[in-house]
Amino acid sequence: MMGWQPVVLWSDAAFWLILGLTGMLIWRTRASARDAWGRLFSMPAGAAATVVLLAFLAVAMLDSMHFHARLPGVPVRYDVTVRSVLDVILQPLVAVPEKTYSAPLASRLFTRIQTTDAHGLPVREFAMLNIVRLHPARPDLPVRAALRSVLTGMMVFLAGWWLFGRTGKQPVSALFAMLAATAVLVSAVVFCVQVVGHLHVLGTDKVGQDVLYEALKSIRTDLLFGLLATLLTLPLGVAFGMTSGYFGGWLDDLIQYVYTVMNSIPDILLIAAVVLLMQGYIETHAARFDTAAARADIRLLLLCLILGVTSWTGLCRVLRAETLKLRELDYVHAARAFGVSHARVLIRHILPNLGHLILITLVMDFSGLVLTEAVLTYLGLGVDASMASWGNMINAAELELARDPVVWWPLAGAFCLMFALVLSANIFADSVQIAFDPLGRRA
Amino acid sequence: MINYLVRRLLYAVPILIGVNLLTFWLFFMVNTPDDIARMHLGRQHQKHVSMAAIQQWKIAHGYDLPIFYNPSRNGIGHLTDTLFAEKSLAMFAMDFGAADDGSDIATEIRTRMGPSLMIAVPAFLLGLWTNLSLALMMVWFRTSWQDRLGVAAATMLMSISSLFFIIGGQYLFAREWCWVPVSGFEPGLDGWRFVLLPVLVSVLAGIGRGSRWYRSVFLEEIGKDYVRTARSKGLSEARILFVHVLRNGLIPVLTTTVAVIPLLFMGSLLTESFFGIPGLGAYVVEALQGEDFAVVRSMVFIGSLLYVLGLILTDIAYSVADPRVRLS
Amino acid sequence: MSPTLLELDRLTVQLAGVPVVQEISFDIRAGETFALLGESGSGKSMTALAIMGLLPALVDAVSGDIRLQGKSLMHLDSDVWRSLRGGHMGMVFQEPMTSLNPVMTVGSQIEEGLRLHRGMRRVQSRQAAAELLEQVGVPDAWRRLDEFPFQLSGGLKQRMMIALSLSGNPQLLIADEPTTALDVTVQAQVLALLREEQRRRDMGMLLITHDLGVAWSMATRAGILYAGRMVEEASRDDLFVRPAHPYTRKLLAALPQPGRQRLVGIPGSVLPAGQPGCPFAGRCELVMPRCHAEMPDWTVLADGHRVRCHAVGMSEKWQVAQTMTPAVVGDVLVEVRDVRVHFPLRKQRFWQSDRLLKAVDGVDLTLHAGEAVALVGESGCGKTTLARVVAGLQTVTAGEVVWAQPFSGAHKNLRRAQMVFQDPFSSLDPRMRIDQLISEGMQALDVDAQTGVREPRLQALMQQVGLSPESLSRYPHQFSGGQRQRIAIARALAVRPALLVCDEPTSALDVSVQAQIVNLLADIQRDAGVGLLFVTHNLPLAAYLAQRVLVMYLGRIVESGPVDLIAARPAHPYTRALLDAVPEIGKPAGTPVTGEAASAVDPPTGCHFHPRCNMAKPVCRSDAPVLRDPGDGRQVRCHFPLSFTPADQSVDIHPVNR
Repeated sequence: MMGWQPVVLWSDAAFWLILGLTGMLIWRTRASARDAWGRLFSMPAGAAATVVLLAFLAVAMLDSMHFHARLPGVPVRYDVTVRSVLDVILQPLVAVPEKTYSAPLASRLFTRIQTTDAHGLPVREFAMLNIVRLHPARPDLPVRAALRSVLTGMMVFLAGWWLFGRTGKQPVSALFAMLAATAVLVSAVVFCVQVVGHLHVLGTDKVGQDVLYEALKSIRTDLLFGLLATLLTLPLGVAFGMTSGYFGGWLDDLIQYVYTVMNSIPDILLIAAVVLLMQGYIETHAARFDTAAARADIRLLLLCLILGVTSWTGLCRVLRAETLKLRELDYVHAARAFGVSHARVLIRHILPNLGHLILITLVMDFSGLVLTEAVLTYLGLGVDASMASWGNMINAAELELARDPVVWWPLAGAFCLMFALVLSANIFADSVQIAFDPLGRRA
Repeated sequence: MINYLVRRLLYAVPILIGVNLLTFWLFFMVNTPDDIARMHLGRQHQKHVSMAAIQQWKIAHGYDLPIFYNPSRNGIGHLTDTLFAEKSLAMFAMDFGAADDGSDIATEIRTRMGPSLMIAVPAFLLGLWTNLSLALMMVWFRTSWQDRLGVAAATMLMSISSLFFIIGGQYLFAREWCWVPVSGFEPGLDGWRFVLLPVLVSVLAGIGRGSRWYRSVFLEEIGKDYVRTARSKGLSEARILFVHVLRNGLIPVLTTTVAVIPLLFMGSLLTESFFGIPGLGAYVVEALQGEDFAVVRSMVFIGSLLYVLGLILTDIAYSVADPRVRLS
Repeated sequence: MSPTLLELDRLTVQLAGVPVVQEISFDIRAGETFALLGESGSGKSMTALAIMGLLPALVDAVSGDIRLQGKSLMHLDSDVWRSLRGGHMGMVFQEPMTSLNPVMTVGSQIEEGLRLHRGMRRVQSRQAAAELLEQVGVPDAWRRLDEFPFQLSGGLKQRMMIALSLSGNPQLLIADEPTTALDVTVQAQVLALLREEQRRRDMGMLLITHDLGVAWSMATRAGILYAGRMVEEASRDDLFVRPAHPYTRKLLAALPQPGRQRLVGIPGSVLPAGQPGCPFAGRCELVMPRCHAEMPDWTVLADGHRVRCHAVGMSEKWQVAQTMTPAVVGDVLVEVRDVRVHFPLRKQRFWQSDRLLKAVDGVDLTLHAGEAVALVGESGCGKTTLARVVAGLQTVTAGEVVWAQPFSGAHKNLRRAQMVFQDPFSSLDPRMRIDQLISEGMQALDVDAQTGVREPRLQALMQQVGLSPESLSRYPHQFSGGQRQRIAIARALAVRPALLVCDEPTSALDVSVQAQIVNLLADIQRDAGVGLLFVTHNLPLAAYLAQRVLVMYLGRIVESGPVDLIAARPAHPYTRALLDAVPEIGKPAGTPVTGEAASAVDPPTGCHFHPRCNMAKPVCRSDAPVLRDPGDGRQVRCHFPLSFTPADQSVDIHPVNR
């Protein structure tokens, strides 16, 4: 009998669909894009960034497999709360909740709270953390864990060097960067695995929630936000860009007009306007979404949709310009001379030759959209306040920095993970651009 | 030239009409005045809202008119006494009506422009200067470790959310070191203390993307044939970079820069709201948080007006900066 | 003998670990022109850049020595370099369009050099720049100083470039393909200018070119480069009359010349540089085992004539005498009747009516089945547009294209003519396999649709164009330029067209590859009976391949008729000018026609050619001549055709036996 019952949230469906389609596309184009991928993996920065991005992707994938856990006893009943595989893995982080703030790796709370002392008298003190009380560890645990994790990392690196160094498929520098990135990730994980359960690696927040947990749970939200919003620019961007560039004439004029109108409204205002409307819609039709989680989920999806339909103009402009060039190329003329239909020319000749530009534009947009999440959430237009996201963490951090003494670790946690994701996405984008368009203009 | 300008101005009209129609559709047809009223009333009284209350709210805020055609009026009133004419077309005459709290939006915009410009203009100029200098420095040291370091630093800077710059800047400069006040504003020259930090933070947040982009523009120019010709004449690298390359590279840089000048009036949403600058950016943030649709609508219109103005300025800048456009 | 100006001593340049220039040695004396001849990738431009110290950053090693007036140029300070560049050595680049700074006035760009190298002040330098412009034959020099490069025609731009390179009074001028981007009449003008300036200033000149004719008309001595190595060096006459290296001999034999023998192509393609042995060994008929093992040393044949070959003195057994099947010309295939193609241009003023670019302005043309017709003219004359009209790729503004035989099938118009494009790199979709590329047209037009027919036919097509059937499963980027052009021809032939329209099919290719493609086209025309309409600016090629030639000028046909007649006795002054301008081996350089073709937007009144014609009379300015048939089988659009003005002294300049 199953101990769990799968649940597919709308955003899960969207996420897996994207992954499936992307995987299929990469497989289908493997022959013609082999050189480009090879170039990507022979660039040290590109190879390392890919490793980091894959790690983030893995976390998001684990967090996109949801289920209801089975409750003990007969008859079979399932828990109402929706949990993900990641929740199960991260269980040790949240197993022991604290009262309030505690600094990273601290053994006591950050603020005094009212408790009772050994004689049952009320005192205000920096109480010992629950987790430390329940699972005491040697005081030098962090140091020992750090040493062990560094050693593991080095071993991973050396093992990788020994395994792949001889194949000679990659330049040495790229292999080095890739293994170094892997080793750093592995040692971070090893460190956390040893410390978690005895200490809070990144401390706890105002309500005593583990900050590392919060930051890790945000990965799925932000990654999904970035991916989905970027990909939703595709249909309009590609369709409008290609038709406008290929056919020209009044169709081009019309699309250019729509494009200029959309563009002339400052991005954030346009998004804000539509989000306001969406909020109104969700508020007035609250009954349709049964749980708070479903509401937050659908809000995330709608948000991505809004960003998709409001920011297709960049892709459209790029593709229009390139299609204008492509349609004057002789192989398009040659196809026309054979009487090949316009639709077929667009699909067989134009679209495949736009592929690299679409890819480049999408990966370049991705990092920007992750950053947009934080800004939108700060403005109250982003993801639901109940959803774990870096935007929400930063939002809370504004007040925490005003405290005295200052509570810095939630912001630091959000900063580190977000910086790692956005930086590797930016480096990846640069490398993809060089790998897929060696002669193109860099921006 | 004048001819060209007239044509560009005429071209702006259909765009603004498009924006006007789009916003009207979004704010009055997707979300009807009834919905807006229900939302506002719902927040005040919780739960159930009566039809009478909705009607009352609509009358109080001037939303009680038909959308496009008013059968109860005569003559031109059929068309003018409608939501579309009153709320949307009126914006072309800079009549934005009243905000939900009853204040006149147009007055509000006029008074808030000043503070926005106080931040935006210095940030824009300083940012442009910084980015150009950094880009030229990177190009000067191209393919050396200095250039690579510069690019790496710029990539890191552009990977940091501007929120971090603002929060971090406020924490360090205002709270920790107490050099400047955390937030607030004072008009006139005495206000420099309030302006300093927001300007610095805006510049810093823009360095990554800006300097990388200018660098790529200059690098593209430096690979062109005319640079080789200049070298074959025996010109010094400095003259080649600062005369030949800069003059060509400045064309795309200037024209895209000119496009954002009008938008400086709008200020910056984040900077202003974090630093308590009573500018238009903060106005928008307040309106968004208070769900004041009338203000948001007006700001959308103003924003696109300024954008279209930017487009026209771009064209003018092109024809001034590039002899190929100017003389042909 | 004048002193040695420039010496190259075993110069070697490595690009990313591969030697692109290998042990090149030669020297140039003052007043002498040394031509460095080679095909693309032979390292000739790299040599020039090395001399100027302008090698790209990718170059990782330079060895050997370069000496200018006895002083070594290796390991110089950048300051010293700068005084040499422009001051002692000037350089003219290939592409006048991109080689001048687009946003600086021409004057300021020339003055920069004058101020730097001659220490002039602003007022002096402006005066001197104007004088320099007058010297290089720029009319209206003072006004031109304040103009920007985009306001000048291609020929004027190249004159500016020359003025610029002369601004520091260099003793050595390096001209890297100075006329390759120019039309043939303008090429003649620029070459004449370079000759004159060289003589006047007693400069040494290094001329980099791929064009044997240009080298012959300019050089005193020449060197042949192959795959980064110099294989032969001699005085001009020795090199062209007594070529000693097999490669040199084959290059000369690959040039199309009237006389109808088959061109000699060089099989295979250039091997990557840096391998042991003679780089030409793989393509040489005289190859011996030791050619693969060691690079031959120099053999001195005569004073100043030396060659690097193991087989000196031996000669090939190539089929010089092999003739081609005569072309069988059939009935009328297609008639083009009074076709006009006008492109509207963007309006300058709001109230102005649309301006028109009259690319083709009233052309009549008849093509016969199996006939090869050449469409000749300079850039912008409308020849490509006309070809595209015939191929069905360009809609006409007026007039009609009438095909004689009815063809069956749904796409009947498309099967009549197929096109082969100029650039083999843009004419094949990089994302499609060769079999997909070739069968695309067959699918669209339903050719050979029965099962089991298409596959063998694809293989037969590959064989017909001289490629292996295995090529079908590869992608375009795996082929060289010449092979790509073969694939493009196979694709066109796949749908069995009656006419092959070729737009400059060989102008993007090297001479040795060009010969192979020309032979292939001739075979297709003669053996398969497919008609050819080919557009070219290369008159010798037209004369070689075609039975009939049409000369176009600014949208109109000015002369048409049998190729022998026109090549021997041109009737239109423009045709004459064109023929005169082609630099050919053995032909002395004449006085080139002046000016450049006007824009087709506002062509001159009357006869379009009158502003450049030295025989123009008032009637030429006012009335446009019509096409007339003078009775010898040709048509000419001229008020005073050359053959019919016997008093004109210019008629018998041309020997009938060209």
